[in-house]
Amino acid sequence: MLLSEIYRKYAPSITAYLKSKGADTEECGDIFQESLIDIFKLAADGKFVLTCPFEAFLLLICKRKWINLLKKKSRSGVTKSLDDGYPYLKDNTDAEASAHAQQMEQEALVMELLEQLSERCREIIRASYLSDSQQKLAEQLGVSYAYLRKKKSICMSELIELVNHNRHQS
Amino acid sequence: MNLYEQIEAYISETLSPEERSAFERRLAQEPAVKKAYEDWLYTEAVVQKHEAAAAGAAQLRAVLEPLTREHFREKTATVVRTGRVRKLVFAAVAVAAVLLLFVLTPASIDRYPVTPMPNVVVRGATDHGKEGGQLFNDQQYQAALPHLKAAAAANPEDVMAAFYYGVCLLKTEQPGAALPVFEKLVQSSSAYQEDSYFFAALCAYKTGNQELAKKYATVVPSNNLYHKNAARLLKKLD
Repeated sequence: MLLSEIYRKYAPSITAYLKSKGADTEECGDIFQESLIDIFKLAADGKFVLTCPFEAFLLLICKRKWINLLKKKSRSGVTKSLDDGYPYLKDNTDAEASAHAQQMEQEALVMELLEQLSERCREIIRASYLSDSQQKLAEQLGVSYAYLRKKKSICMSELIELVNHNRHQS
Repeated sequence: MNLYEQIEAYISETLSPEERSAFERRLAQEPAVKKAYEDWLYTEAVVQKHEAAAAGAAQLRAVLEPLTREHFREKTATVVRTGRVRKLVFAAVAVAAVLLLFVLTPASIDRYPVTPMPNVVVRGATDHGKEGGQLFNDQQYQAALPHLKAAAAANPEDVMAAFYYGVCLLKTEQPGAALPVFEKLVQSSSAYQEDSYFFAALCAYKTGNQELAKKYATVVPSNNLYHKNAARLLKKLD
């Protein structure tokens, strides 16, 4: 399936749905596009397997993005339930699509919380996964190998604790 | 060394053989240690995946922009395609094609994650557990089988060897033999107990015992790595 076909098949119905919930055309386009990019990131390592119709998953991601946008804008005037108004999907796909969306949001949370760490921690964590050799990385960062490893374990523990804390809150 | 320093040292293979063995014992026996180790692996995998995907996502966005304008904006902007832009478009379409290949692949109950067997790259190691573990992590399940079987038989307390022996049996299409291995593990209170519920369910399903499959799949906790797989199995059983 080509990207243009995804747009041709799903953009009209998802636009109609989002507009019925208060979104304008431009917002619909942004939400649709960013949802496709998020799905790409989720599947980027080749391990993700979709277990529901693509349309159901795409719709759910778009729906959640719209809810988040509404929260950010604190917009009022949306009177219909966000679960109404999209007649094309069967109910039993919802659970699978929700599980995928939850995985996507958990991963987004990790990346969001990574941004809350100190600049040094972010630099060390990011670079350590893109570098072939930790020894070379230590040289590049101008620190000893032992320091790099110790600092990485501190930074990772901070990130893991932040993720666990936020998971329990949500 | 605190726990996270130990995990880092374990992953970067800088522990001595004695320290490594001690850590692996904790990993097999202490759920909190296993959870911290799995949290580390999960976080590492997410960061690695998203960092690696960042460049591809930028390329994809460049391809999607004109499509979004075409389908969503009132007026389509005129796009002059230079050679560079066209090249970028081809690259991103290729990326998107790969994405869709994965996204649209149908799922089956055999698509479940397997975490690498913690152990195993101890240079010069000759015992069955290490050798079997290395083969297992290389996905050479048939070759790993006799080693893991020997390791599990040599030490009935070694829940890690038993667990990976069970997975190995399942991977080599021997669910009937794997089922008692996992049923024993679900009776233990080890770090592998919860994972074993799913694998016992899968073995029972594959051997035609639907009631037993349902019993085990139902009790996989919602925060377990295999909860989603268990839910998929239950759906098949309904």
